[in-house]
Amino acid sequence: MALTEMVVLIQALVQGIMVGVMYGLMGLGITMVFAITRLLNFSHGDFMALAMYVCLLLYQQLGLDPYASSGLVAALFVPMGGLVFALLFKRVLRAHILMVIQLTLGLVFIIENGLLLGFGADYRSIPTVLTAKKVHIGPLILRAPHLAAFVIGSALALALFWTLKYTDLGRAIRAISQNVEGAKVVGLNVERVQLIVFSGAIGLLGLVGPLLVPMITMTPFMGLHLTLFSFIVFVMGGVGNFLGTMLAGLVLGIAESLGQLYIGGNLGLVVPYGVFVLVLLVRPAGLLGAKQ
Amino acid sequence: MKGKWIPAACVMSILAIAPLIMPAHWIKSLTLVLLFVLWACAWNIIGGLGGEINFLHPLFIGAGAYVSTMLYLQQGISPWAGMVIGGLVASLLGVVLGAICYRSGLPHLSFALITLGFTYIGQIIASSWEYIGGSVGLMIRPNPGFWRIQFETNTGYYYVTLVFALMAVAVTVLISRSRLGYYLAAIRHNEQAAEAVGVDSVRIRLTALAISAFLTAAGGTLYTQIMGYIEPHSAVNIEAVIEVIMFAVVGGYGTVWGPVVGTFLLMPIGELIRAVWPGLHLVIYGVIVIAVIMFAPNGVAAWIETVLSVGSRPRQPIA
Repeated sequence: MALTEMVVLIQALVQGIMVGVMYGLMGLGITMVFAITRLLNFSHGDFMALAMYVCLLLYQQLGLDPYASSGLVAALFVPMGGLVFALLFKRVLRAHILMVIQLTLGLVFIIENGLLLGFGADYRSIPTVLTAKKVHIGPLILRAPHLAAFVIGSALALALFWTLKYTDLGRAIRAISQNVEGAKVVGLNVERVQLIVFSGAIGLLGLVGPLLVPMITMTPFMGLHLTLFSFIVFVMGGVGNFLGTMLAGLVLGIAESLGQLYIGGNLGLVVPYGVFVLVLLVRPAGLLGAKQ
Repeated sequence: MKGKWIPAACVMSILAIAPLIMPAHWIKSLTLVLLFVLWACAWNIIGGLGGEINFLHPLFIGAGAYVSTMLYLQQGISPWAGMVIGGLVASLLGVVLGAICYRSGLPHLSFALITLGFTYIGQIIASSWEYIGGSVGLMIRPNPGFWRIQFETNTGYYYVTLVFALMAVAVTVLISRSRLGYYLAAIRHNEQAAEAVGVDSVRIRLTALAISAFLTAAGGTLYTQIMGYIEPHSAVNIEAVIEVIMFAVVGGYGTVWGPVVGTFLLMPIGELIRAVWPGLHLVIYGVIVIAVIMFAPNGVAAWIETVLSVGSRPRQPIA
């Protein structure tokens, strides 16, 4: 009995970690954009919802599997992100932060209700090659979509960290996030880097969204909730701290998974929020945040 | 200053006779606009004047809605008394949660998210607590009477809501001209500097939050009476506070009249385009919000002021 309980616990932990990588990546998009533009994008999750609905469209029209369409969606989302940045966000970067937040909330209205118009309010899911498959590792039974998300997500995260640490673009991003004026003085084209990072962040959502397709049921209004989770990860890790963001994603994933296991149902959903509130009360600057 | 009273008087007289001259089905829409004026003004006391992004208000709406309704259904206590008790419960809730958040010296964004976290927790608790109706909610059987805040027609609700909306505006005006208002402005512009000259920022913010919570909860009671029922997602309504903040910010962040202007501008536009393009209306609404922000980044109230050049005082920059 104790052994089965142990296995169930480990299984929940593993599943939490696998989902947590996804949350970490969602938060990483917010962290990257914030680090160099000080912009808080409340339509972040809605862009992800949009990516998932593009998958639905590709499935309905061409029979494409979401895993196959993820690259296509990302390729579509990079220029779209650039366009949104150049047309909207670039012009309001100097305005009051609440104004910018409202602007992104305006986008939330447009995307959510656009999806509602296009696809209706019904809950949707798309079958994928991995949907019902399971992988057995010893006594553990892992769901294949979660495992795939974990593997691809981890690879993406590592690639991002490598870019940040070892490429010129990464050095430019770090320089701008530390000191915008200083970065300008040494001749960095801040606007160009901002454009690249914003496009990259939206493109990242184009990759991450399809990976989540087999894990959640889609509704046009799920975006705001995804945004909230991204923000929680972003803040809990320590604002602007890339490694902290990934760590916070894992903590949130585990909290959600354990909440479902030990409390369950509606009330189990409280656990991730509760953990977030507790973490911030104990460490106001976040898990890995520097004291301000 | 003088220039503002003439348009204010015009608007007031229009509002006073509006139900007598407008089609019956408009009255309910206008009542809801007034309710949102109340909520936007109440939020503005702590959010605008105090300059913090606070998402606790759905909890206050819920406190007002659930306390007055439970007292009425279980004990037969008048919702008027329930409104006061609900308001006090909301204030207490605000002070307790506020004290937790303010004490730990959270940066602005973390503060905003932590309040949103509390609100989500509250919504989940409300929908899983069977004693207060769980996810189904509570019904109030129709039984008109002023004592029960129930009216035969929408006109009754309209005037009651109008009185409360005016009260919220009056409270905001009074606070903005009082010592509390100046302290809040000082905290909004620079909290450290304000503390350095002796402003107890935690106490000031808690006071403002308690007042804001009380008014918001009163609106929650009214909302329940207007609708005749509550359920967790309409009582602890996160979308409502996002809209409220949108009205306050689009109208003019940190100003007294911004929330009033923003609500009267955006809500009827929303209703109008819903009537003309059902389905598409919220998309257009989003476009309008974005356009307003690109066009008048300091808010509509400030924009109107510059256009009419009413008031020769230089406007204070928003911190």
